[in-house]
Amino acid sequence: MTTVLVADDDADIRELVAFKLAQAGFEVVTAPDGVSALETARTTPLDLAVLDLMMPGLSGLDVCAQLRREEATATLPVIMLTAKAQEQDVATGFAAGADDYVVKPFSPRELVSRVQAVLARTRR
Amino acid sequence: MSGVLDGVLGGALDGARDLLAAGLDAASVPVLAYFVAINTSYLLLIGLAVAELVRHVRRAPYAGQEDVYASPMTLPVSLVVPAYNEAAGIVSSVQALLALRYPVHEVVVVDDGSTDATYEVLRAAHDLVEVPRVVPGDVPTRGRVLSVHVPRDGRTPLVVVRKTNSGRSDALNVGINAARHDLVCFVDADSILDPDALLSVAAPFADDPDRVVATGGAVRAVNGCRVVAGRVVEARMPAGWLARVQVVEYLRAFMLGRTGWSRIRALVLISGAFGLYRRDVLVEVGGLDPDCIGEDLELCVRVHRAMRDQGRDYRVVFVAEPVSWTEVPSTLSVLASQRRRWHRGLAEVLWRHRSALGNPRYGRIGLVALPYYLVFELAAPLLEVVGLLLVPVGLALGVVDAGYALAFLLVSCVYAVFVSVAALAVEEFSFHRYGRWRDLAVAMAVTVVENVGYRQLTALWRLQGLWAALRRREQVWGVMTRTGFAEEALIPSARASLEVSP
Amino acid sequence: MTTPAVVAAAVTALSALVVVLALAIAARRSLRRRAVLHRRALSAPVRPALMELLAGEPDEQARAAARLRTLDRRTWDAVEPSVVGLLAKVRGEGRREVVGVLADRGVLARARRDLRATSGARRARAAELLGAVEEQAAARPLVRLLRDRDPEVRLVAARALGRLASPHAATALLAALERTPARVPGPVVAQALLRIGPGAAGACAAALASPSTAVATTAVEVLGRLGGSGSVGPLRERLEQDERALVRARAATALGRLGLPGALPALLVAVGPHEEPAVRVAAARAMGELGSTGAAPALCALLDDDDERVAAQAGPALLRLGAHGLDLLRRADEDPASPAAAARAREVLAQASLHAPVPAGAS
Repeated sequence: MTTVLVADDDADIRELVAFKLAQAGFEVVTAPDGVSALETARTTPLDLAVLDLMMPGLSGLDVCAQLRREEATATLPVIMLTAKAQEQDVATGFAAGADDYVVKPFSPRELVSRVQAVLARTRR
Repeated sequence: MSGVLDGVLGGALDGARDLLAAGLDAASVPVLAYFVAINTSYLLLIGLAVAELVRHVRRAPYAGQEDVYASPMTLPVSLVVPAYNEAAGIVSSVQALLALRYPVHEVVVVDDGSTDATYEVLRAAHDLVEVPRVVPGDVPTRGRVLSVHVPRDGRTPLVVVRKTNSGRSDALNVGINAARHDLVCFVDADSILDPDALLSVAAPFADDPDRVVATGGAVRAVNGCRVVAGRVVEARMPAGWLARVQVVEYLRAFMLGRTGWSRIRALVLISGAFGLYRRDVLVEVGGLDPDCIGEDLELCVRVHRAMRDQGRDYRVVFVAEPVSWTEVPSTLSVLASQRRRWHRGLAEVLWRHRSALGNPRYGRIGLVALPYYLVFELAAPLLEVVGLLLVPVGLALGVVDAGYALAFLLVSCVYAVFVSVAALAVEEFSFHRYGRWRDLAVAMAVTVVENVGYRQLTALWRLQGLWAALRRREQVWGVMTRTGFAEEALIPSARASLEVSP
Repeated sequence: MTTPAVVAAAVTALSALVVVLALAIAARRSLRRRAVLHRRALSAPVRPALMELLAGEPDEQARAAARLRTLDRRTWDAVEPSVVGLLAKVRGEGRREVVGVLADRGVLARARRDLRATSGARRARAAELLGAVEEQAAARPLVRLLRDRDPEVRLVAARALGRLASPHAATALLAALERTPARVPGPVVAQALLRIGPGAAGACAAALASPSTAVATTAVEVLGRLGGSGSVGPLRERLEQDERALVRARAATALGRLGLPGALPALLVAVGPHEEPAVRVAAARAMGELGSTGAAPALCALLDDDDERVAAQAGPALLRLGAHGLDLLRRADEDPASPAAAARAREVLAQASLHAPVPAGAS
């Protein structure tokens, strides 16, 4: 069962993404902030993580960078979800180790396609 | 022989009693007038604050914060953080500041000659390297800049400026010089900010870019609150009564005081713990004054004067949103020195800007705000302490009518309770951050308990501060300055407002 | 009235007020709690339908839409805030469904009526909603609201017009800047025009020569950010001919943002010593953004300029020109004739070597 982590401080977004991913056949775990996202990533075997960039405390960027530093999660595919679309942040996201970047407002269907594409790409 | 002595003593006592009686008689009407005036002013401030908060809450659905966040036109902000021996918390503080929700911002840490590992921990955390950046001298500074450092990754918008020790004001001035962006925000190293804090205080600049020159946010006590990952997750009343009283004090000061003043556009105090200014205006007025103890108030008054001198249409706005949380003193000695320092600062600022007092050229600032501070803030502890001393003496001598004294005391107490409860009500109807019923009960208890001991103590300390200010002007400038700053360095808590107890 | 009576009255009145306030606080708190719980209870069973509406398969969406359409009034009131909130967070078919439900339940019709409400807050809320929904039919009434008597309403209307992305509104938005003080702040108009996108370029080009400085500078800035080679000519004209230094400076910045080499000759002139400092600074920075090596000699000369702010731009600009600029910087560093220029070059070179390895063989 492919497990995906969804981390966002907005409950509506969490629920929506979880719903769509579950509908597409994924097993979903959610986290409301960066700290619990890291915790979950360390304790649950994940296949992909969808992280919101702007989370209070530990941001998605920080979580991603930390995941890359830890051996167990260094190759975990990460998709960043954010309302910020300025050039510099896209670059920052990728530099921190993200595999893809989705801008809010987003299309749930598109997000699922991206999840599937990233998984296919990284499995190869 | 003893008879003569008795006679002399009796005569002296009679004389004293008559003098006291005459004095109290003469003073009774002015004192009553003062009492009525100060309480009426509180009523007015409450009314103004309510009006402003109603407006604030009503416009929340269309305040457009998301737009401010998404707009490329939103002015970037440089956060200036003065740091002296902050090794314990500076890394997490800087982390939290970098993570604030805002389109473009940088963090400028000014290491004011720390003797601990402040710089070291930052260097390790962000892999800082030295760069040969020349810090411009837009604002005159005294300390010497030793080196400038940035993270090696070239992405993180952090700058650490090391300089020789010369105090917080001078450190802030160096920060202004090193700041790259058009808006400069002063933040204390140990303040905890809400994630949208910067958006909230920058919003007035986005909504009214031609006029707004400075904004400030509400500061609250973090003691007792649940803090997770550098964010206040749940606001709670602290355990100690001293801290509890201060929580209510800050609510009064910010929810009622600042909000009310801002409504009539006469806000003269933007908290140094979290205030946002336009950089060009700061450069224009020459930054903060390192020789003044009440530098936050002094800067704001100076900005007002400069704007009015130029005849500019400008605004200084208070954002009622609680945005900054700071630790308040939990011991009497630290609290005492804080209050003394604040009141001394108030006295110094009013003295320095005495030419603006009652001066119609400075509009509401000169005619309303500054005189108010002089009469109802600066002088208030004098009246309170004198009253505290004289009334028992008068009672003992039979000069003061016990009934009258008791009545006065009672009305005064009930009024104080009323003002505090009004602040609690305003908070409940607007931001209602304190969720637990227990906290509400504690706050209510505080409104009463505060009058027995706390109020008198703060009056005494404020009077001591006033006395220190009067004495200071006779002493050598430089010597006092050094002592003042060393004192500040010992005090771990962050700075909040001057005007805390209205 | 005797003193004791006055005092007694005062104390009684104040105490009564205190009690009233305390009760009000308690009442407000309990009512709020109850309302939140109530709303949650009502909306919990509906949330799956909401999710299906946004993200389900077409038949699921239709079913969910039908369900939401026929919800009873109370439940709908509990759910409406979430529904409206989701508008800002999603796009695609799910969003269209949400807008459909809002229309069917009369929410949009009510908002359209509220645009003429007597209360400014209601007008603003309605404008905000119609903007969030991107209701094109609301464009004209929103344009009218740009002249509203309430400044908040004008602000919200401008933002909403940006979200509508209706090109016809561009002229009206620029016109809102004509008076002093402007009816809507410049940056808000600029952001709205940017959201409208290339459709606003025509209105901006037409507004370039406006006698109002606010209009001209906003039009210049928007054209610079929108991009498009068609703007180079008009912006050059502004830089060369406009009498206002502020407009010229913005034009220089805009030309830099456009990044097209056709702007270089005008910028070279604008950086000359006769120009206002603000314009020179903007032009120097813009030359760096252009990345054209033709700017190199001029920038080199600027390293030595008397005006500190202009000279400070020269170094970073040269860096952006690539290897050629790097070369010139190194030479300036070693040139004894001008120590000021050498110092600036050194600073820039040091910062550059920090972030990127220096290309081999270039030393």
